[in-house]
Amino acid sequence: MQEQLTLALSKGRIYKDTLPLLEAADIIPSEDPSKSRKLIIPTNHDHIRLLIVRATDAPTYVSHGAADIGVAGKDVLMEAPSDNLYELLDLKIAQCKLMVAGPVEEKPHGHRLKIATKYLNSARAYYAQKGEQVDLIKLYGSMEIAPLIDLADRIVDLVDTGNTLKANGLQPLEHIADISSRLIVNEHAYKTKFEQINAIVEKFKTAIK
Amino acid sequence: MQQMIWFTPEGIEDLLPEQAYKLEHYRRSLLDEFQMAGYGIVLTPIAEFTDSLLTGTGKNQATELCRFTDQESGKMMGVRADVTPQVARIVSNRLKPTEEELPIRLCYVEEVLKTRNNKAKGSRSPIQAGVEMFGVDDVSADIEVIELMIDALQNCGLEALTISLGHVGLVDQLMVLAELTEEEQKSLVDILQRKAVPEFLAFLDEKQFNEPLKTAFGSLLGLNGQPHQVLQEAKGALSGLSPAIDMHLERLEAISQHFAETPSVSLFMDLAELRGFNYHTGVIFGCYASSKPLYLLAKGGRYDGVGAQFGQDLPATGFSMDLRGALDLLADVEPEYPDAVYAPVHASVALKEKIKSLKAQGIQVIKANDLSSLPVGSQYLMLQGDDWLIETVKSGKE
Repeated sequence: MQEQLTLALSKGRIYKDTLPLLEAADIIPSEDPSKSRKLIIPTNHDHIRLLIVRATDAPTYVSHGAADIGVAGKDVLMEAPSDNLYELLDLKIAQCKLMVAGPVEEKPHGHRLKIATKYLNSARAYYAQKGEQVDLIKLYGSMEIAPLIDLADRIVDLVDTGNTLKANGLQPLEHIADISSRLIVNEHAYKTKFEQINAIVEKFKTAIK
Repeated sequence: MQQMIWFTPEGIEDLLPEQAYKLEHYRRSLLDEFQMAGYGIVLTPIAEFTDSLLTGTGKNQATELCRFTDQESGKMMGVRADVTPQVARIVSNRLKPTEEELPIRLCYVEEVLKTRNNKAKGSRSPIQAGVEMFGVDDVSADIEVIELMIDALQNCGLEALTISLGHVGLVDQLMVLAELTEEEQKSLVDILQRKAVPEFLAFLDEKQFNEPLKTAFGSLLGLNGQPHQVLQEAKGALSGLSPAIDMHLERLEAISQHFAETPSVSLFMDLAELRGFNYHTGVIFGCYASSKPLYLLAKGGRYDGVGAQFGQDLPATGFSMDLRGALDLLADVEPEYPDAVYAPVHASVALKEKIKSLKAQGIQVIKANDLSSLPVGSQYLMLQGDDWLIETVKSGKE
């Protein structure tokens, strides 16, 4: 019996890079989410559908069982560890690094470093393990500005090519973690729909570069 | 003045009569099932010293426990977040069974409270229903408890179930054989609990195990699926490494054979499943209803030796479920009362007798002094001559 399977993906780069993997598993979306406003996208299989969600929400959908399978960045999984999740595959897509960056010419700073970041938990854990006490400032984007206008001394952020850093007079300083997208599976779905999910995982495996 | 708004904390709820009736119905059904299987009911205290709540199966609940200081002793108290450590304390410290009194079988249905609301994991204030069995270390106890779980859930109308089986002793043995440090064990358990394959492979690369161990560890994350197939593969990859591993596999085989023919029950086996790794010691299991496959309905497993800290070391196993969380999965139940009869407030002894006899027949009797306000069709008691008789409210004025 084919049970309903729901996959949670985010639009944009992750979706584009996941398409070939889906194809390898013979899952063909019937619409292109970049052209459609639909958030639930049917596929060539009646029992398989895609949810188009925000990248940071994918683990939530999967952890609550609203989706069986999802694609989520390791950055998101590190920042907000969710229960009931398996991280079965490194899809080797959307690869980048979580790093500490600071001005090329650092100004003197106070006895506690001020760190601007979207990744509060990851930054906290990183500095705790280094034995450094820092002040964390939560920002939702454009982190690179913070050291330029003395909001913070350094930032913790994802670094891909490093061009944004360079353009703002910043440079990567410390490597925290390698980031890429993971195939996540709801623990309970894995147990109750094992044959179906395992078949997809195996096919994904063969298609990962 | 601003009006006070009464709302309950995150994850804390009332059950209104319909839902409360339903819950009570299933609570009784579960307790009946447990008691008919020889499990004696216990009531544990709502709060006790954190020392005992955080012992044994509770040793990882430090952050789940709502705590306060006992004004009498100055010691820390906590609201129970799990009933199992309490039952273990009762057995080892209060009942202190002799060899002849074993096995001890106990059951309970009690509300517990957790500090945080984790919707993905379940309610913050589960109504925990479960059984614990002490004193039998062979496979018969594992089977008995799993069977009771299946019977109890099927009795509640959840016919089709998936049982997932595992055994924490396998990974534990492998880690002992590989002489992993405590730190390494911790990180490996975390990796396996998340089935984080990329990190697992990196871990294996780094450790450079010798050949039999390399195969054994390498096979771990693939050892899930149909029990028959999994056990066959496990025997190839794991057997002969240590006598304990062979025993664990034999036990799992005995259990899966026992339940292979159970109607409406399908089995799943996952040998890398490590739920509750730091207190479980043997076979662990979970149960899903096929009507809601992504909700872990009931779970349990072995926790041998937990009682040692309370003074008596006994093998133990059990299961529990959250009745509040399961409520929406269970079929609605209608109150069994036939139409109610209204009765006036009256000192008459004859009326009292009449009400008593109606109630004995299972008829609800509700007090209503102003009979004229009853809706048409209602039944009420009226004195006619010396007898109280049931009359029906008729329409129109007569």
